[in-house]
Amino acid sequence: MKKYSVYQLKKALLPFAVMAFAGLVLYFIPLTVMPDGYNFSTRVENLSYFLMAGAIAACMLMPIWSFRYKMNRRSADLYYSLPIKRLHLIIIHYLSGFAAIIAAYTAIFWLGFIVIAAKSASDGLNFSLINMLWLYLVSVVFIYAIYSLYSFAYTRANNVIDGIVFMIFATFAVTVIALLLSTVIWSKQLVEYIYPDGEITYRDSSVYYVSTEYYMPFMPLSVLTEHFTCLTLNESSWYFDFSNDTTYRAIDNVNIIISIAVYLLLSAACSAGLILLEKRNKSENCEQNSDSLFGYKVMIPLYEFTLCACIVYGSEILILLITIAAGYFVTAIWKRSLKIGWKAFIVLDVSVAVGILAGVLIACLH
Amino acid sequence: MIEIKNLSKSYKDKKVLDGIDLAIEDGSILGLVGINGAGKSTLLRLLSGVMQADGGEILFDGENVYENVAVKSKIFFLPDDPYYTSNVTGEKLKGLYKQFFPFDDELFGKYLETFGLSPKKPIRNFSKGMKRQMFISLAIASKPKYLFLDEAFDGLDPLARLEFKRGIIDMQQEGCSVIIASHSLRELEDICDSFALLDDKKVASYGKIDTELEKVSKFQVVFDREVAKEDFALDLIKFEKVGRVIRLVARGDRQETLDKINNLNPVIVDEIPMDFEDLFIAEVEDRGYLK
Repeated sequence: MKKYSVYQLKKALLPFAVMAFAGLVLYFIPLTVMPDGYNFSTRVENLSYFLMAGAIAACMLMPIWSFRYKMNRRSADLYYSLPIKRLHLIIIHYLSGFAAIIAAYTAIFWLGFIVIAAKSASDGLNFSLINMLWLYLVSVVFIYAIYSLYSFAYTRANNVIDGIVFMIFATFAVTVIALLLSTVIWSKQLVEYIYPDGEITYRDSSVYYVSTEYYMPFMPLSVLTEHFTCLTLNESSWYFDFSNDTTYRAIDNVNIIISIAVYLLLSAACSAGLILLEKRNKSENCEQNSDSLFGYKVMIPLYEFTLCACIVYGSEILILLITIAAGYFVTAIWKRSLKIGWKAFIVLDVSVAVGILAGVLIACLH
Repeated sequence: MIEIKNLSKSYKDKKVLDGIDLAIEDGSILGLVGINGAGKSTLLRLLSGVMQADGGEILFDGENVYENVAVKSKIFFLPDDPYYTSNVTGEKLKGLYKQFFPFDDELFGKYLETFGLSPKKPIRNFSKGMKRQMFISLAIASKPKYLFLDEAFDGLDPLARLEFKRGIIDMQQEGCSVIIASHSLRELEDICDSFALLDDKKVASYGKIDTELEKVSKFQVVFDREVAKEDFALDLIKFEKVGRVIRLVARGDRQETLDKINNLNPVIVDEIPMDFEDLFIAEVEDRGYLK
């Protein structure tokens, strides 16, 4: 196992080199040729957001590279015939993929900061190294969270196309549940509005207690990147600050904390699931239709139910029809045929019907 | 020794193997034959630990093969369509196999030289036969104790086949057991000492090739009158009649068969030498295929 780990890490040098080269071309070269109008703070912020976006993209693409051996019958013949336990094989490929991402991220993060510091030395460097270290450590944790989620989703599939579809499902699964909850958990109340000149008024507004936008998988990373970047630059951050808070700020902060907790738990579950479920994986399922419970079987009904409920609540009939049609389309992709079968047809219709009913009930509740 | 006991395997609802029993002695070369879809590739994948059997067991010197690293470190499986990525070279593949097997660099180099292959060129640019030669070189150089080959001769020119067969025999002499699934029965006859015929999800026939060939004989017989299949008191595997000329393959002692034919007073009786391919065709036709 040790020898193969070293071998696979050496192979991971290729994606590492690709990511590092992308960073060089997309960030460093523009940074060095950019006119000197940008100050230190702006450059640090640009670096943070660039790294965050790059890491998210890498977390979505790396599983396709790391686990390609599982998605093709010929490669499965090779890798499963090798004298290595399947559990060790998947762990090595999983960790080597993550190592490539983090190596590139670390290199660009610290090298980027050194280059920025050198370029901005004349401006005076006002930053907090401790908060910068926190920024780095926290971002690594949440890059892992995103990577584990997409790795788990991708490896539930038996082929590349289904793997990509499962990753798309994973991207919005928590979000659509949050969207449905937001239609249920809201109320009308007097909300305080503070104008820039200090004037305070009160208005009767709809207050949604679930902020859907914070439940995408990369939002914890995005929020924490922004938060610790501000702290690194010795600027204030409104995140996690409950003092002197408005209603909406308080709701956002609560949602951010819940989202962070959700994705940390999901990451732990995905990491454990990747390992524990490997025993059930059958090599003869390679290139077959993917029937995992973590894929089409559950995700299509989930999406149909939640989206139909939300759309009916919002009375958007055209979008409802498009959503129903999309459900049939995705099922056809799953079955690789327009003849989706009576079982899939019934499941689809029941989830749409229950979703519509739920939407009507929610509308009646309010 | 490889022992296969009551092995069964299904793909979803379709049963492919059902009650396979086989014992393969160390140092033997077994030819695995059968019609398309008989389950040869499935059996090789089960033997290599690529798939898990639904029932029964596969034991290598008493140890189960599935997920057994110690057993699998002695096995090299070469499928009919080996995997390679677009930029891979022989050198890179060697690097992979060296992680797991006692790879002989010198032997690898020798075979590459014999086949005229470069280890540094991408395999994607090779012809079908050259790719096969490269993987055969890797298989032999890995020096496994058990070598499983699926359609090993496919794409090889006659000279390459000869080198390959020599390599297999050299490996056998070093104690390697080889199982080759192939439709090239003439090639199998050259190197295999035993065979197993898969049919109807089971091992329909198994034994030493020479011994099995001695159990059957093929004759061309000419009569001066019309004769029917029922006139021959023989255990016939194959019976072809064109007018008064009969071609038959019969099981049983050769002299007894000849005596029974002569009892029918033929005009001419010619014995035709039988090879493994003739035996296979006769067996599968007797089972109702190829009619």
